[in-house]
Amino acid sequence: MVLSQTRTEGLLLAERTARSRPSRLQATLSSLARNRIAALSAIVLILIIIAALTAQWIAPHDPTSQDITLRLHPPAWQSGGSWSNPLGTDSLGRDMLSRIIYGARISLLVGFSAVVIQGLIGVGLGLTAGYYGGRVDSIIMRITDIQYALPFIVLALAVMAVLGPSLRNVILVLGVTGWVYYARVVRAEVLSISRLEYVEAARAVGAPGSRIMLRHVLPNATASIIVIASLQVARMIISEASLSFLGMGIPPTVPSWGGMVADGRSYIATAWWVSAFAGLAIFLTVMTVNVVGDWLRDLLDPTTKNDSTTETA
Amino acid sequence: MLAFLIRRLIHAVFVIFGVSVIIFILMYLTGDPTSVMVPNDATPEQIADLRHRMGFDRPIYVQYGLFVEHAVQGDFGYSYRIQQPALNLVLQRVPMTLRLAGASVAISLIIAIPIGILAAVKRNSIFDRISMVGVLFGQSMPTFWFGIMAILLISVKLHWLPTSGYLGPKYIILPALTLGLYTSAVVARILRSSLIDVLNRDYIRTARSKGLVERAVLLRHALKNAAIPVITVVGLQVGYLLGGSVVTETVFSYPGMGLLAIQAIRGRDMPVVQAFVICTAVVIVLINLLVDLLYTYLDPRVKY
Repeated sequence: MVLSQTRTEGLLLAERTARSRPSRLQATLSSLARNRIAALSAIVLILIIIAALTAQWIAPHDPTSQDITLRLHPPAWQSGGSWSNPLGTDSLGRDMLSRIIYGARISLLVGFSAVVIQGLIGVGLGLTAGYYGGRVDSIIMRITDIQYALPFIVLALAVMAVLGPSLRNVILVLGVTGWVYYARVVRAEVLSISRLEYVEAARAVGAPGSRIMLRHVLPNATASIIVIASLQVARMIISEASLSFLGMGIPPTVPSWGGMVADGRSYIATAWWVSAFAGLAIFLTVMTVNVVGDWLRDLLDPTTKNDSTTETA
Repeated sequence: MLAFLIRRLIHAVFVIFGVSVIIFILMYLTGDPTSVMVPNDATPEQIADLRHRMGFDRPIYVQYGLFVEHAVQGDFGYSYRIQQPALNLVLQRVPMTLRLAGASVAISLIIAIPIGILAAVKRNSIFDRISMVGVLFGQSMPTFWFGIMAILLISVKLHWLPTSGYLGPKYIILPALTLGLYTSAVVARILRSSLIDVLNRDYIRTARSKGLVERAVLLRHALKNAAIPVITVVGLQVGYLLGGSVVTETVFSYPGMGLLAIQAIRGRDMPVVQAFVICTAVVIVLINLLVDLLYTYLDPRVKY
């Protein structure tokens, strides 16, 4: 992995940026200004987040209120549509726009919380494996091997089949099954960082292992962790949507984008808008997260500048 | 080489063993499956008898021992819904899923290789920019949505290809394209950056300076070396493709093991779910072994 190969430059940068905090914000802003696509994506993503947070005020209708007389009305600009349901209605007469706005809550909530859980587990195990080495390391790494042999969605589906569909279970399943990338990358970072002199020095003055890891090793691995986390948010949003689409994620009573695409599937020939808009929402959100994630990677890891070799997948 | 193979095989067995533990724990957590297996009017004695016959009243380690003993003989029990051995049901579907995954890899390479090469050679050109936007789209598109939109546009509106099921080779095109979309994006992206990297190397400069035409430089010197990261990525994609086949097969009602698995999961038919998970893991481990062997062929410096 490129991330671990050329650590020295990365470290130099990390140290430099850590020393001069105010200018880091400036650097970030000026980098955003240079990269127009990233800036645009960041703005769209922020708008999506605001929409999710303020859903109860900005959504024109209650996303769950049904009205059979309004069943499968087309979007406003098509004949038969009306501006009271700008994006049309679904098979139970619920307003699509409101459901999509509320759906953003689920997607973002699942995406971000799952990533926090995986990050905590993965970083913890990666630090432990890298720092202690030996048997602890090989046990943890063999567990990651086992998880690599199981496609993420297969494992998640099998666990969901046991636990049953619910918001909490989706977050748990995605959180507990997705930690492998963090563990691998953090371990690699720890292996290269713990040989550096300042870590040796900390060890020599008798600092305990936990302190060395948290105070000296972890801060230098944050750049890689942030990069993985940002790309994982995108993957988790798609995974949640896929699980919900398959009927194994968010229960159908809660508006979720994956569930909406599944609903619309039966009416695809006559009412394209139900699946189309919900899917478009997933696509747009994931794309903006991906662009912002790529930009963060270029910003944090100068060795991959203008280049896209690092794959976390 | 032989030592490497043996080591890898031991590793593979270990991984499969680990997967079996996960599956067993899952099955154990599902609880007692007898309730779905008996008729509604069964007496408590009949249920207790079935529980005993199936071994569900034994301690967990005994149950795991029995599970492994049966599993190594290919016995995952009978499907709760269809009275057939679970492993047979899954194995019958494996060729269909492999065909779909193979077609997806083929389609994604056909799309990605020319794009990746052209984008790298004409770096920063309009073509490069457009194809990188395409890559971003491909990486951000939810598979199931792309599949549904493809059905809407290509099958329902244009009537070019059938919507779902499988009655012949024509039926595989849309599912393979859908499943391969993400892989195409990843491969194009990796090939582009790997080729850009290789084209900046000294030996390429040497090849150019000795007067080779650009075409020969590219085909004979650059591409083989640029292919190594691509092979790695395609190898890593195997897991994605098998996982993604669950979603894609559901969208297109394509009769592979993914569709079977989804039906089994919905029906809580655990023996079939177990057999599916194990088969997936075995396929992935075997293909990754194959990928490792491919490296030695492509890059003689790689020694195991």
